[in-house]
Amino acid sequence: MNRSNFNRAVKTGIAAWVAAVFAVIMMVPAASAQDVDFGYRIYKDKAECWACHGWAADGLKDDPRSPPGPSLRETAWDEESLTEVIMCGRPGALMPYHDKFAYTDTRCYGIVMTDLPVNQRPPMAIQTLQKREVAALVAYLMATVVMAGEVTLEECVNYWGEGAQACQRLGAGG
Amino acid sequence: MKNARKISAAIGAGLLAAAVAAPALAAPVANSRLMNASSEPSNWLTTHGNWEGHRYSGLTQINRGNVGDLKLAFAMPLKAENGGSPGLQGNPLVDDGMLFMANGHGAIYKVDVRDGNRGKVLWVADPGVDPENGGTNRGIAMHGNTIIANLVDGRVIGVDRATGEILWDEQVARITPDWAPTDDFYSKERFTAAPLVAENRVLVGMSNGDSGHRGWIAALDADNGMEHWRTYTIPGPGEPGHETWADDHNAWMTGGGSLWTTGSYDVEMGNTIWGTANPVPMFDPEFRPGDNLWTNAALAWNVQTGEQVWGFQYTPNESWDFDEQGVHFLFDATIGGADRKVVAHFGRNGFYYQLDRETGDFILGTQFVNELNWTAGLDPKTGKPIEYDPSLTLQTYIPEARGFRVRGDRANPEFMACPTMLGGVRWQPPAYNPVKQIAYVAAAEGCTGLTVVAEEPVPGGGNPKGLGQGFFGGLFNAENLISPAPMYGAITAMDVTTGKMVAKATLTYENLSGLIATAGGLIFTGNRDGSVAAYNDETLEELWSVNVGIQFKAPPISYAVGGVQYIAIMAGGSSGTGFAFGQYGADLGNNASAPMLFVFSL
Repeated sequence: MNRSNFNRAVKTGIAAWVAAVFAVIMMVPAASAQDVDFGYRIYKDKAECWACHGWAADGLKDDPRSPPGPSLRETAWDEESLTEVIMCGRPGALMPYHDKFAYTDTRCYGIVMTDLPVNQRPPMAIQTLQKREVAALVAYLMATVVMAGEVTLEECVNYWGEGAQACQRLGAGG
Repeated sequence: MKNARKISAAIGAGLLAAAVAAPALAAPVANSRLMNASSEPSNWLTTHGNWEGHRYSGLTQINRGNVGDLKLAFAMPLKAENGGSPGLQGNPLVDDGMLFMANGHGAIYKVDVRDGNRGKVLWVADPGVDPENGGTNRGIAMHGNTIIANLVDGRVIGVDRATGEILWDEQVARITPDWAPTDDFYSKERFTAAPLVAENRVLVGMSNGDSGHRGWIAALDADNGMEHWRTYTIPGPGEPGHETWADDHNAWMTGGGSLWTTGSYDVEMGNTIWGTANPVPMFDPEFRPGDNLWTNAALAWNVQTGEQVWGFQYTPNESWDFDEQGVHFLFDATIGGADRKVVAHFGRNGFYYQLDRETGDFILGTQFVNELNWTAGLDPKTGKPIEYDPSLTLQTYIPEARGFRVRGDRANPEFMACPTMLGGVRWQPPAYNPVKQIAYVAAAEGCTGLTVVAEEPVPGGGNPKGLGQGFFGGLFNAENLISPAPMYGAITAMDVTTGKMVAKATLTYENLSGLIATAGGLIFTGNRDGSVAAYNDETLEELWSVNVGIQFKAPPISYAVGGVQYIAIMAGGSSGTGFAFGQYGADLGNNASAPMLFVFSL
């Protein structure tokens, strides 16, 4: 084994160990595989988060008509803040709120819609979501995207399925 | 009794005139309004129209004389989740010109129908059911200022009817009970029947026994969804009736007896009465020797305590999927010179039954389907099939029509059973006219070819096909729905004072929609070929129909607002092809489905 391979092996080992510890910490309370799968389908089919954030949530939007959304891969999001932003959107930005009743009372940031200047008011999502759907979506993001580093071919195949054209730029055959 | 009823009908007609002229304000749906739902003919407050399960409208504006002029007033689509079109088998509820309904995944719609020319959707409350659950919905309930729904993923929700906000959301099914052998034993429990609200309780019945689940009913607090009690339909170890599961592999744990169709509420006795479904596996009685209590039964539970007050089993050790989940409706009648308090039921096994609703005692039973070959008839004293022998753990009935693993020297032989495995009656609700004392049913007629396929038991109990998988113990062959006796449909009218048939009309297709009866001398239904039709309620002559091209699996209702009477019905559901529908081939097999609401008026 040459030195660079050795280093790579050590790094991989450490990364795996860190990932394992991280996973144990993050799994409390445990998000079930079922939740993650439900969250994937909400990301892809119902809420269509990919339109602005990209399928890999790397900030490369997949719908040319949508505004760009930031990458979610480089920030150490926690479940609470992800949930808040999805439910309440971001005042002053184009991130929509997914709680249909956000800003009808003070559940979001303690304010109602008329507290915000017109140009600061976030839009309502076309598809609003229930708490349990947001919980599943957050479980999916925490399990697959947040602090996940470079987009991998495996991730792409997991998202799009075998043989998808979208994965060719990541080295998929076909 | 009869005079009293006529007087109350006359009062009802007077109220009706007032109601059509000036609809009542949208007061909260208090228990007292549900109790007197029949006195508000402009509204449709509970799934079967009233606690008694009558599906009877006191409105008379649409009647025999003018029904020929009935026209489409408006229509509107419901959303099909992810391109699918799940089963719409429920009816809307209406209160003061506001119509509430659910799509197959339980998304609730509030529609302003006061205009009469358009349904304006005020809000949609989407509870976020994972579409992977599939979806069949048989309706919703009203309580106070909330709409209550039970969902296919086992949740029960309360929705603010002013705003559409989900106020409470409880996971009620899919909670593994203490006695279950594995953690996810109850992974595919679901709800299809509409919830029933009475005495500030929400009564919900677990469906999907066919995936190896043990049926139960639960009562929740209607204000917040907190559970008061839960009672299983199949007795557990130590409970009376448990001995009717005489196998050595705990078949009771996966034994079915689930609740697919909303029951009724007997306000005098404080009991809710529901019909239970088949034992599981449905076609293989040798898997589960014994009477299999309380599958295929009428059961009465005290709504305050959950105690089972009485039970009447229709077909012990049954093996044709003749489940008796269908509506059990309540009325008083003079029968054989005696005043009786009755619960009545059109069976999937081909018989119409009347029981004493205070005791469960059998009063009378009459064959109402044309073809029936599994028994020679009912014992007039006990109401049990004549061949029933309580000393046997495997009933034979008429052996030629009964599923056995071995017959003569042949293993798993095919045989022909009548009525069809679709009934008789499944969920499609009957209707009862309390003034004329006639009960109506729209049902399937014909026979089915069946084959037993023995199931290998899991030691200690469990579903041999895997958790939550269909577990049938046999096969039915769609080709054999055609030959030798083609499946078709019929509407049957019964005089409840005699138990005798008044009229019968043959339908081209089996009916999956169910009925309403109206004071206009009419009954209404929707048909498989996409027609909505009205019939004379005494002769069953068809007086009006229009074809909208979408199959109906949901029953109609009637309501009034702004002085106009309407007939409303939801269409759509699983597509025109598929389960047992191959017999229609090019006739209906190419019809697409679409979830829709249709509303008709003069």
